Amino acid sequence: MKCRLVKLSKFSSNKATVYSIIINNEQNTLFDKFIQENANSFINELKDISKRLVTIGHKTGARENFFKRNEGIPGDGICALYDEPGSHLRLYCIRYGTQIIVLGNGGPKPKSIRSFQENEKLTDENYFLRWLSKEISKRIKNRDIEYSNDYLEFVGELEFDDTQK
Amino acid sequence: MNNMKTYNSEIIDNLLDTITPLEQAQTDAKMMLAARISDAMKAKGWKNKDLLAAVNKENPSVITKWLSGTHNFTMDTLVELQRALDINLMDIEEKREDIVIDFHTDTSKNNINKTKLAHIYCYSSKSKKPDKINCLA
Repeated sequence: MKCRLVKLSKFSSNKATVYSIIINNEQNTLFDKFIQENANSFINELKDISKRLVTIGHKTGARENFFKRNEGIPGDGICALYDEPGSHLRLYCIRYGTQIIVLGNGGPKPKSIRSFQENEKLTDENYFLRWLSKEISKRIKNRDIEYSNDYLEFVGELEFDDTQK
Repeated sequence: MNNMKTYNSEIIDNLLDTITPLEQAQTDAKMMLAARISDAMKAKGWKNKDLLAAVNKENPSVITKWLSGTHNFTMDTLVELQRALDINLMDIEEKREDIVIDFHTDTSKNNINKTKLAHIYCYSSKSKKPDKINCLA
Protein backbone atom coordinates (compact mmCIF):
# COMPACT_ATOMS: atom_id res chain seq x y z
CA MET A 1 0.00 0.00 0.00
CA LYS A 2 1.22 3.45 -0.91
CA CYS A 3 0.07 6.76 0.40
CA ARG A 4 0.85 10.42 -0.17
CA LEU A 5 0.31 13.71 1.58
CA VAL A 6 -1.85 16.32 -0.11
CA LYS A 7 -2.49 19.88 0.96
CA LEU A 8 -6.16 20.66 1.60
CA SER A 9 -6.73 23.93 -0.20
CA LYS A 10 -9.79 25.15 1.74
CA PHE A 11 -8.20 24.81 5.17
CA SER A 12 -4.66 25.89 4.36
CA SER A 13 -3.70 29.54 4.46
CA ASN A 14 -1.13 31.88 5.96
CA LYS A 15 -1.39 30.53 9.51
CA ALA A 16 -1.17 26.80 8.92
CA THR A 17 -1.11 24.18 6.20
CA VAL A 18 -3.52 21.30 6.60
CA TYR A 19 -2.60 18.06 4.87
CA SER A 20 -4.46 14.80 4.58
CA ILE A 21 -3.52 11.45 3.09
CA ILE A 22 -4.50 9.66 -0.09
CA ILE A 23 -4.12 5.89 0.02
CA ASN A 24 -2.91 4.29 -3.22
CA ASN A 25 -4.63 6.02 -6.11
CA GLU A 26 -7.96 6.55 -4.43
CA GLN A 27 -9.90 9.71 -5.22
CA ASN A 28 -10.57 10.72 -1.64
CA THR A 29 -8.36 11.59 1.30
CA LEU A 30 -8.66 10.05 4.75
CA PHE A 31 -10.37 13.23 5.90
CA ASP A 32 -12.90 12.94 3.06
CA LYS A 33 -13.59 9.42 4.25
CA PHE A 34 -13.99 10.69 7.82
CA ILE A 35 -16.70 13.05 6.55
CA GLN A 36 -18.40 10.39 4.43
CA GLU A 37 -18.40 7.79 7.20
CA ASN A 38 -19.94 10.12 9.77
CA ALA A 39 -22.14 12.45 7.75
CA ASN A 40 -25.35 10.58 8.48
CA SER A 41 -25.03 10.48 12.24
CA PHE A 42 -22.80 13.43 13.15
CA ILE A 43 -23.20 16.15 10.56
CA ASN A 44 -23.16 18.98 13.11
CA GLU A 45 -19.97 17.67 14.67
CA LEU A 46 -18.36 17.50 11.23
CA LYS A 47 -19.35 21.10 10.65
CA ASP A 48 -17.78 22.08 13.99
CA ILE A 49 -14.56 20.28 13.10
CA SER A 50 -14.45 21.90 9.66
CA LYS A 51 -15.02 25.37 11.11
CA ARG A 52 -12.16 24.82 13.53
CA LEU A 53 -9.87 23.71 10.74
CA VAL A 54 -10.72 26.84 8.73
CA THR A 55 -9.90 28.99 11.76
CA ILE A 56 -6.64 27.14 12.35
CA GLY A 57 -5.48 27.62 8.77
CA HIS A 58 -6.59 31.23 8.40
CA LYS A 59 -6.55 32.84 11.85
CA THR A 60 -4.80 31.10 14.71
CA GLY A 61 -2.47 28.36 13.52
CA ALA A 62 -2.47 24.87 15.00
CA ARG A 63 -1.97 25.86 18.61
CA GLU A 64 -1.15 23.07 21.00
CA ASN A 65 -4.13 23.83 23.23
CA PHE A 66 -6.58 23.13 20.43
CA PHE A 67 -5.55 19.48 20.39
CA LYS A 68 -5.83 16.59 22.77
CA ARG A 69 -2.25 15.49 23.04
CA ASN A 70 -0.58 12.19 23.78
CA GLU A 71 -2.77 10.07 21.57
CA GLY A 72 0.31 8.28 20.29
CA ILE A 73 3.75 7.62 21.74
CA PRO A 74 5.84 10.44 23.21
CA GLY A 75 7.19 12.74 20.53
CA ASP A 76 5.26 11.40 17.56
CA GLY A 77 2.87 14.35 17.42
CA ILE A 78 -0.27 12.22 17.30
CA CYS A 79 -3.21 14.13 18.73
CA ALA A 80 -6.94 14.55 18.34
CA LEU A 81 -8.68 17.80 17.54
CA TYR A 82 -10.67 19.06 20.51
CA ASP A 83 -14.29 19.37 19.61
CA GLU A 84 -17.37 20.77 21.23
CA PRO A 85 -18.18 19.45 24.69
CA GLY A 86 -20.33 16.34 24.60
CA SER A 87 -19.40 15.44 21.05
CA HIS A 88 -18.74 11.90 19.85
CA LEU A 89 -16.26 12.12 17.01
CA ARG A 90 -12.53 11.76 17.34
CA LEU A 91 -10.35 12.99 14.49
CA TYR A 92 -6.72 11.93 14.63
CA CYS A 93 -3.97 14.23 13.39
CA ILE A 94 -0.21 14.65 13.43
CA ARG A 95 0.84 18.10 14.51
CA TYR A 96 4.13 19.75 13.51
CA GLY A 97 4.36 22.97 15.49
CA THR A 98 1.66 25.53 14.88
CA GLN A 99 2.14 25.59 11.12
CA ILE A 100 1.47 22.07 9.86
CA ILE A 101 -1.08 19.39 10.64
CA VAL A 102 -1.77 16.11 8.88
CA LEU A 103 -5.35 14.89 9.15
CA GLY A 104 -6.03 11.20 9.30
CA ASN A 105 -9.32 9.46 9.88
CA GLY A 106 -11.05 8.67 13.14
CA GLY A 107 -14.57 7.87 14.14
CA PRO A 108 -17.07 7.94 16.95
CA LYS A 109 -15.66 7.14 20.36
CA PRO A 110 -18.42 5.43 22.32
CA LYS A 111 -18.98 6.81 25.80
CA SER A 112 -18.82 3.26 27.07
CA ILE A 113 -15.07 2.95 26.43
CA ARG A 114 -12.25 4.74 28.18
CA SER A 115 -9.39 4.26 25.73
CA PHE A 116 -9.45 4.15 21.95
CA GLN A 117 -7.75 0.75 22.01
CA GLU A 118 -11.11 -0.71 23.01
CA ASN A 119 -12.46 0.26 19.58
CA GLU A 120 -11.03 -1.48 16.52
CA LYS A 121 -11.70 1.32 14.05
CA LEU A 122 -10.12 3.99 16.23
CA THR A 123 -7.15 1.74 16.92
CA ASP A 124 -6.57 1.12 13.21
CA GLU A 125 -6.75 4.81 12.35
CA ASN A 126 -4.51 5.78 15.25
CA TYR A 127 -1.87 3.17 14.52
CA PHE A 128 -1.79 4.07 10.84
CA LEU A 129 -0.90 7.64 11.80
CA ARG A 130 1.72 6.39 14.24
CA TRP A 131 3.37 4.55 11.36
CA LEU A 132 3.14 7.57 9.08
CA SER A 133 4.55 9.88 11.75
CA LYS A 134 7.52 7.58 12.12
CA GLU A 135 8.12 7.62 8.35
CA ILE A 136 7.85 11.41 8.16
CA SER A 137 10.29 11.76 11.06
CA LYS A 138 12.79 9.49 9.30
CA ARG A 139 12.56 11.58 6.17
CA ILE A 140 12.93 14.85 8.05
CA LYS A 141 16.01 13.42 9.73
CA ASN A 142 17.41 12.31 6.35
CA ARG A 143 16.39 15.61 4.76
CA ASP A 144 14.18 13.86 2.24
CA ILE A 145 11.49 16.12 3.66
CA GLU A 146 12.27 19.68 4.72
CA TYR A 147 10.23 22.61 5.91
CA SER A 148 9.63 25.47 3.50
CA ASN A 149 11.28 28.79 4.37
CA ASP A 150 8.16 30.02 6.16
CA TYR A 151 7.77 26.63 7.90
CA LEU A 152 4.26 26.41 6.48
CA GLU A 153 4.78 23.45 4.15
CA PHE A 154 6.62 20.21 3.74
CA VAL A 155 8.96 20.17 0.76
CA GLY A 156 10.34 16.94 -0.64
CA GLU A 157 9.27 13.35 -1.00
CA LEU A 158 5.70 13.10 0.26
CA GLU A 159 4.87 9.61 -1.03
CA PHE A 160 5.19 6.64 1.28
CA ASP A 161 5.11 2.90 0.95
CA ASP A 162 3.85 1.00 3.96
CA THR A 163 5.14 -2.42 2.99
CA GLN A 164 7.41 -2.05 5.99
CA LYS A 165 4.46 -1.37 8.27
CA MET B 1 -8.10 20.40 -10.33
CA ASN B 2 -5.87 18.34 -8.08
CA ASN B 3 -2.16 18.09 -8.53
CA MET B 4 0.47 16.28 -6.55
CA LYS B 5 0.45 18.72 -3.66
CA THR B 6 -2.84 20.62 -3.53
CA TYR B 7 -6.14 18.88 -3.22
CA ASN B 8 -9.54 20.44 -3.77
CA SER B 9 -12.13 18.22 -2.19
CA GLU B 10 -15.72 18.35 -3.35
CA ILE B 11 -16.70 16.60 -0.13
CA ILE B 12 -15.10 19.33 1.97
CA ASP B 13 -16.54 22.02 -0.29
CA ASN B 14 -20.04 20.64 0.15
CA LEU B 15 -19.64 20.58 3.92
CA LEU B 16 -18.22 24.11 4.05
CA ASP B 17 -21.12 25.34 1.91
CA THR B 18 -23.47 24.49 4.77
CA ILE B 19 -21.59 26.75 7.18
CA THR B 20 -22.83 30.33 7.33
CA PRO B 21 -20.42 33.28 7.70
CA LEU B 22 -21.95 33.92 11.13
CA GLU B 23 -21.24 30.36 12.28
CA GLN B 24 -17.66 30.62 11.07
CA ALA B 25 -17.23 33.99 12.78
CA GLN B 26 -18.49 32.49 16.06
CA THR B 27 -15.90 29.70 15.86
CA ASP B 28 -13.20 32.22 14.91
CA ALA B 29 -14.06 34.29 17.96
CA LYS B 30 -13.95 31.35 20.36
CA MET B 31 -10.60 30.15 19.08
CA MET B 32 -9.05 33.62 18.88
CA LEU B 33 -10.14 34.35 22.44
CA ALA B 34 -8.49 31.13 23.56
CA ALA B 35 -5.35 32.12 21.65
CA ARG B 36 -5.31 35.54 23.29
CA ILE B 37 -5.67 34.02 26.75
CA SER B 38 -2.89 31.56 26.00
CA ASP B 39 -0.61 34.37 24.75
CA ALA B 40 -1.31 36.43 27.86
CA MET B 41 -0.41 33.46 30.05
CA LYS B 42 2.86 33.01 28.16
CA ALA B 43 3.65 36.70 28.54
CA LYS B 44 3.27 36.35 32.31
CA GLY B 45 5.18 33.08 32.36
CA TRP B 46 2.09 31.34 33.73
CA LYS B 47 1.21 27.67 33.57
CA ASN B 48 -2.37 26.45 33.71
CA LYS B 49 -2.12 26.08 37.48
CA ASP B 50 -1.20 29.77 37.84
CA LEU B 51 -4.32 30.89 36.00
CA LEU B 52 -6.34 28.39 37.99
CA ALA B 53 -5.11 30.00 41.20
CA ALA B 54 -5.63 33.53 39.87
CA VAL B 55 -9.30 32.88 39.16
CA ASN B 56 -9.85 30.86 42.33
CA LYS B 57 -10.95 27.68 40.58
CA GLU B 58 -10.22 24.18 41.73
CA ASN B 59 -10.73 21.95 38.72
CA PRO B 60 -7.74 22.15 36.32
CA SER B 61 -9.88 20.89 33.44
CA VAL B 62 -11.63 24.25 33.29
CA ILE B 63 -8.42 25.89 32.05
CA THR B 64 -7.94 23.18 29.42
CA LYS B 65 -11.49 23.82 28.28
CA TRP B 66 -10.96 27.60 28.10
CA LEU B 67 -7.79 27.16 26.05
CA SER B 68 -9.23 24.52 23.71
CA GLY B 69 -11.08 27.12 21.65
CA THR B 70 -14.38 25.29 22.06
CA HIS B 71 -15.68 27.16 25.09
CA ASN B 72 -18.56 29.58 24.83
CA PHE B 73 -17.41 32.17 27.37
CA THR B 74 -19.87 34.03 29.53
CA MET B 75 -19.43 37.74 30.10
CA ASP B 76 -18.65 37.07 33.75
CA THR B 77 -15.83 34.69 32.87
CA LEU B 78 -14.36 37.12 30.36
CA VAL B 79 -14.36 39.92 32.91
CA GLU B 80 -12.73 37.60 35.42
CA LEU B 81 -10.03 36.61 32.92
CA GLN B 82 -9.42 40.20 31.90
CA ARG B 83 -8.73 41.15 35.50
CA ALA B 84 -6.59 38.09 36.20
CA LEU B 85 -4.47 38.46 33.08
CA ASP B 86 -4.54 42.25 32.83
CA ILE B 87 -5.64 42.16 29.22
CA ASN B 88 -8.61 43.34 27.21
CA LEU B 89 -10.67 40.48 25.81
CA MET B 90 -13.79 42.39 24.84
CA ASP B 91 -12.73 45.77 23.52
CA ILE B 92 -15.78 47.48 24.96
CA GLU B 93 -14.00 50.54 26.26
CA GLU B 94 -15.95 53.74 25.71
CA LYS B 95 -14.81 55.18 22.44
CA ARG B 96 -14.19 58.87 21.76
CA GLU B 97 -17.25 60.36 20.22
CA ASP B 98 -17.30 62.09 16.90
CA ILE B 99 -17.59 65.77 17.52
CA VAL B 100 -19.00 68.14 14.98
CA ILE B 101 -17.79 71.67 15.34
CA ASP B 102 -19.63 74.56 13.75
CA PHE B 103 -18.02 77.99 13.62
CA HIS B 104 -20.31 80.99 13.82
CA THR B 105 -18.44 84.23 13.55
CA ASP B 106 -20.24 87.17 15.01
CA THR B 107 -19.48 89.99 12.61
CA SER B 108 -22.32 92.23 13.71
CA LYS B 109 -20.51 93.41 16.81
CA ASN B 110 -18.05 96.12 16.14
CA ASN B 111 -15.48 95.47 18.71
CA ILE B 112 -13.00 98.14 19.63
CA ASN B 113 -10.14 95.80 19.12
CA LYS B 114 -11.52 94.57 15.81
CA THR B 115 -11.65 91.11 17.17
CA LYS B 116 -14.36 88.77 16.21
CA LEU B 117 -16.24 86.55 18.58
CA ALA B 118 -16.50 83.00 17.47
CA HIS B 119 -18.84 80.52 19.02
CA ILE B 120 -17.85 76.94 18.74
CA TYR B 121 -20.71 74.53 19.12
CA CYS B 122 -19.73 71.00 19.97
CA TYR B 123 -22.33 68.34 19.27
CA SER B 124 -21.96 64.86 20.57
CA SER B 125 -24.31 61.92 20.62
CA LYS B 126 -24.65 62.14 24.40
CA SER B 127 -25.37 65.82 24.88
CA LYS B 128 -28.93 66.98 24.37
CA LYS B 129 -27.83 70.48 23.60
CA PRO B 130 -24.60 71.54 21.93
CA ASP B 131 -21.95 72.86 24.21
CA LYS B 132 -21.15 76.42 23.37
CA ILE B 133 -17.57 77.60 23.70
CA ASN B 134 -16.65 81.20 23.13
CA CYS B 135 -13.31 82.22 21.82
CA LEU B 136 -11.78 85.16 20.08
CA ALA B 137 -10.82 84.84 16.47
